[in-house]
Amino acid sequence: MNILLVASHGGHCAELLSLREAWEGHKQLMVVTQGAGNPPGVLEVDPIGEDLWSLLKAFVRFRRIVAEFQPDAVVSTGAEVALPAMFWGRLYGARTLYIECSARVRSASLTGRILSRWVTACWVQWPTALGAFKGRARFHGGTV
Amino acid sequence: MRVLVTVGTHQRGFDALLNSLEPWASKGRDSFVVQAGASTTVLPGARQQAWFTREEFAKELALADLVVAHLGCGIAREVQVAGKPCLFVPRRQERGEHIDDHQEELREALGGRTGLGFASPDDDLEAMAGCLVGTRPLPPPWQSDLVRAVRSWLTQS
Repeated sequence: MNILLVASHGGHCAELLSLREAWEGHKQLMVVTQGAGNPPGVLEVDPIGEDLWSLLKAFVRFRRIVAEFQPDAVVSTGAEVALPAMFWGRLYGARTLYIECSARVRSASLTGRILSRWVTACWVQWPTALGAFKGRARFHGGTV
Repeated sequence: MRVLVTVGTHQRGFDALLNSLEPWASKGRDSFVVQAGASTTVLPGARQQAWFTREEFAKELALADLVVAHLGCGIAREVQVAGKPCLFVPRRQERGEHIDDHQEELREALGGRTGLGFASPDDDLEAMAGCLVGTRPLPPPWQSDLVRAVRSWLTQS
């Protein structure tokens, strides 16, 4: 199985790495936004932040990444870099799992609100965050 | 005592935290290692860098007696895994330190856990950190549940 793993650098990346036992034995491609503390061996893409132009460029970049890697599943712990990854992942036939960041305890991020309507599965890391997703998310544990 | 300070890898700095640590660091009693990110404040006497590599940071965390940090999800997890006491100072939207106040949400959720303390930049961070020295956080309680759930989800046809 080809698994595409996607996260912003920093805490989101640390959360994703903490789950690595879950995809041991599968072919993986990990894509992380460029930044301090990234592990070796990941594919780095430009950070997006709050810049719409950067987000548009990321959509172009991720179309190529998804088309070339042909993932069976896409897993992301956010943040906004999950948007292009999940968008193209689903269009190319992959199952998509978005895990909201553990920092969201009662609220939903904008990325989470958008992706909860698009992905195969949307999970939160606190039971108290379920209400913010209006039935579109589930809780199965957390990294913090 | 060796104190590791981190404001995470966020594109915004956290000068309010570093300013608040200045009276403590100026005494010169404790050794400070600082990952300052985009902050511009320099902590007196500290070994300060904008960023550490993952390996460098892991080494500094292992050596630290205490951590003072913003309340990012990465460091919140790491101090619990490493069993290092940590005083968290959440970033606030009103000070321009983050896009919203989700770090305050995490403060509420983690409140009561052993070895973790919470403060604001207006507090006496030295005194509050002193209460945490010698305590040891427990590992994140739901980590293995989530790993199992992801593995199970991936193997569903």
